[in-house]
Amino acid sequence: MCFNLVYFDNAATTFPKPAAVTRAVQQAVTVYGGNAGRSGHAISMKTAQMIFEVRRELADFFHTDVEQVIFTYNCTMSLNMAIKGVLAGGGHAVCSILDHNSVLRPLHALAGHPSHSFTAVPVYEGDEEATLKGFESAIRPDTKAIVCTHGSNVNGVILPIKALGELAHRHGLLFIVDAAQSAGVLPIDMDRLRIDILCTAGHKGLYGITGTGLMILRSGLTIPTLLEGGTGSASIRLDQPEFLPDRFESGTVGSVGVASLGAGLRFLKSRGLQTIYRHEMRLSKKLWRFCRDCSGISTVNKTFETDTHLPVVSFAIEGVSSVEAVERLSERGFALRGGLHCAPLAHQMMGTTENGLIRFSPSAFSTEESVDRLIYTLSVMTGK
Amino acid sequence: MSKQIIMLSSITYAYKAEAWLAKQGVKAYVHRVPQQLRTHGCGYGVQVKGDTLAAASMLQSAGFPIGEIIG
Repeated sequence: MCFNLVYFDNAATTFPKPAAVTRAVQQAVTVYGGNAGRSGHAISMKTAQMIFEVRRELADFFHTDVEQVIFTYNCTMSLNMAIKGVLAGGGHAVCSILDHNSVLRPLHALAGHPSHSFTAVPVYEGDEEATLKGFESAIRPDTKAIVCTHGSNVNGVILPIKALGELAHRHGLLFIVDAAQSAGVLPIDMDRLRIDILCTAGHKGLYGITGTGLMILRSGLTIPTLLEGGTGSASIRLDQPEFLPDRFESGTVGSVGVASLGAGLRFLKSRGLQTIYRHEMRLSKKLWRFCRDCSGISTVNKTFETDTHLPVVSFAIEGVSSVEAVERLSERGFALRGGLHCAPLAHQMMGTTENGLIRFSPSAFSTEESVDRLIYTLSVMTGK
Repeated sequence: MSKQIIMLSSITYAYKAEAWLAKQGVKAYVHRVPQQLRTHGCGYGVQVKGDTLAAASMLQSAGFPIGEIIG
């Protein structure tokens, strides 16, 4: 592996990528080099067809129609487009304290205007009823949307998405889900989960390259745009097209990234989502149990179970800041992330703002042997 | 093959139409609309091997946002 580091920072971006992704990137540069949807020559058309095929595979994967899949450049961009589109005319939104800054900052920026506001509600680990009650009690007459993460990038807690979708629709609200950590790890059926807008990164659990993201709108839903520009369609008009995906895909689509995403998706399907999730959870549980039982280490999770948690384990080493700890781990050959993970409210709730947390996040390529080595290294570092 | 092109609102819909028609047993190919035939600027459509009007009707019934038939 690169730099001889064992990589456990897959919640930030997965690494390494499957070999098929590397090949797809090379092929995209050498074969699919045209600008899709802009010309009629063979290279442009071939590129457009490749993009369509990947779009179609993604639509099947998330149980939606092909034109509803919009390629963006990361999950943050998708969330900005969704949040600012839905709240364009003002209004209130409910989110959770486990949300990432990609949700919190757009909401906070909007809240600078008198017509906008938001409420961040607690998430109670192991008590979905309490979590749902918190969301429901925050709904106001001017609430337009529930926006929340599918699962935390800090403590791995999975939110009751299906129940939240039903809650949102019962109150006539739109439901926007940040699936940055869950896409490619948990099955996501937009219809079944009542999701109106699904936002995710392409470079994490979907195994595409960085610079890829998705915003997927429920069929029939339309929102104002954040970006306007050339789409290669209806060019005579100055108005942005109403039809999808063109409405939200101004400028050249990143075909290299799209090709990588297609290869990543095929890798996922060949291994099986459930197989990957169970593998990552087995490794995560092993580390979590060690952290729970080691006197020099504290973990933020009371429990850590399949179906209620994502494969993300955050912990602290007594007397050492998380940033310093991950530097020491890096020197010993392990890549983990320290700090606040762009989730400030989650850290406030857990009381870990000052020192942050060390985050472990495996991938389909992580091995039990490498987790054993990490556990041994942590034992040595803590003297336990 | 007919030289007529069934216009669709976007290249995505054109490829979707091509795939849908193939499932119905109708061969069609995505084409960029020639400059002289454009009425709304850039655009794509499908050229059908067979009865263009019948294919257009099938697409319309299936909910495809088809435009005019040109050529």
